Amino acid sequence: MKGRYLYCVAKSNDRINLGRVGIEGNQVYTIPYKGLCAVVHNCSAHPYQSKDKKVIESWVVAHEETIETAWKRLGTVLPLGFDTIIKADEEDPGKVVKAWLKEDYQSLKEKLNKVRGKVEYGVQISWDNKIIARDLVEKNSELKRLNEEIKSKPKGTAYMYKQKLEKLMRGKLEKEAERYFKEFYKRIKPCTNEVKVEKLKKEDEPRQMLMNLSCLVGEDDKILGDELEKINNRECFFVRFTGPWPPYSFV
Amino acid sequence: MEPVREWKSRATLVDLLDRVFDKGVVINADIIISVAGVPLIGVSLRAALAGMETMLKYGMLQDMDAKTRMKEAQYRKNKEVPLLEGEEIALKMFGSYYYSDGIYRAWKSGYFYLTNFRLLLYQQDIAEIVFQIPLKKITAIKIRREKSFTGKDKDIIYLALGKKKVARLNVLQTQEFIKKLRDLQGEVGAVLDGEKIKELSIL
Repeated sequence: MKGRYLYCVAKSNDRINLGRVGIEGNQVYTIPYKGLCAVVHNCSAHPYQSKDKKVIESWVVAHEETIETAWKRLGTVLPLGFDTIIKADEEDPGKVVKAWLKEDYQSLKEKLNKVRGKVEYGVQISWDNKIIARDLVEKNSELKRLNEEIKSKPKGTAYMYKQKLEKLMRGKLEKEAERYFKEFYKRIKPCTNEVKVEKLKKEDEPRQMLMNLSCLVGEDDKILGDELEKINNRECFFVRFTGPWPPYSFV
Repeated sequence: MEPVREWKSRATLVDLLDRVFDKGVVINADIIISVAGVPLIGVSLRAALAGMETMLKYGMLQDMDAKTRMKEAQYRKNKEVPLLEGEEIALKMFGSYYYSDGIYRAWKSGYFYLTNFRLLLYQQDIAEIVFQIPLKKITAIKIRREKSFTGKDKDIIYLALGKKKVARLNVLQTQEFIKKLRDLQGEVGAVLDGEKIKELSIL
């Protein structure tokens, strides 16, 4: 088998068998080099591909579960993305893996030091834009006036006023979104070691995502959860807090 | 607030997919068959797995004005390479630079930018210029064919930088890179001395 499917890198100098926990029940084991090891299973020299969603899902789940098994057994791990396969055409693939560990040794050691004792959490904050819009109309005199006008005007004129209101509202919502982003970011950052800003995800109306973060935090740290609770308790905001993940976003 | 971790449920499966397809340690493309996330799985299949579209920019509303977009830039993780006034990019190419600082040595990968002023290596995810040198300071260029640890041959570019320093680079298309570099050096009036590199001790 000319490929080695890579799950993660850990600190260990031993050749360890983790069992048949890998993708498709493959035997997972470590390839050590000077105190670092790659966690792998033997595979053929081509990627795992399928048109079947369910199959890919099961592979991805197995990928993650193997990393978590290694995490429990070996301590801090540097996870790799799905389907990272080291290939060797002429050489023994085990040798190529060792050669890679040697080549990237400093960098890998540095990364392990960076994430030791830490975990990753996903934080997504959304708002209910209907509630926010309602509050904005209450607080803003111009919006309030327009809103009132619409009720009293005949159909045609009311439509034009409505257009104007909507345009104004969009501008104000954008400003509010930015304001909240900055405020929440400022409050969340000190609860973490590091934060990465991720792309927003589309949600069903009236929910809209304001921010999507990956946070690197000490293992037993509670302060992030506490801060997020405060935000989640506010009527118009919803916090999704997932994890702990292996530090995918920080390697 | 406690984090959600029954990640086999649909909701957290999406979070997992985001991580395993786009993140994790990056490895030199030479030795791997596939890079997770790149067309193998297919963008549409991945979207189908995720069950929802991923919005591609910060800002939920389609018509964002220019000012807001600029402010957004400070929060985006992808940052553009900072150029000087009057500086123009002649070539952008993926490659690596051998960084050596006493004990610490590593190949740093990123995008090389050849401009009318300088050569630089930029790592986008940390928004940092990892290496840069004004074109005039490159006094010699030499290519050596070396065996990489995979057993395959690689072209390593050696640049002499003044009297004692040498930079070691590797790029995707060596010939194109060298040609462009020579053209630009001609333009700025720098002088290349192929002999000088023999005299230099390589770090």
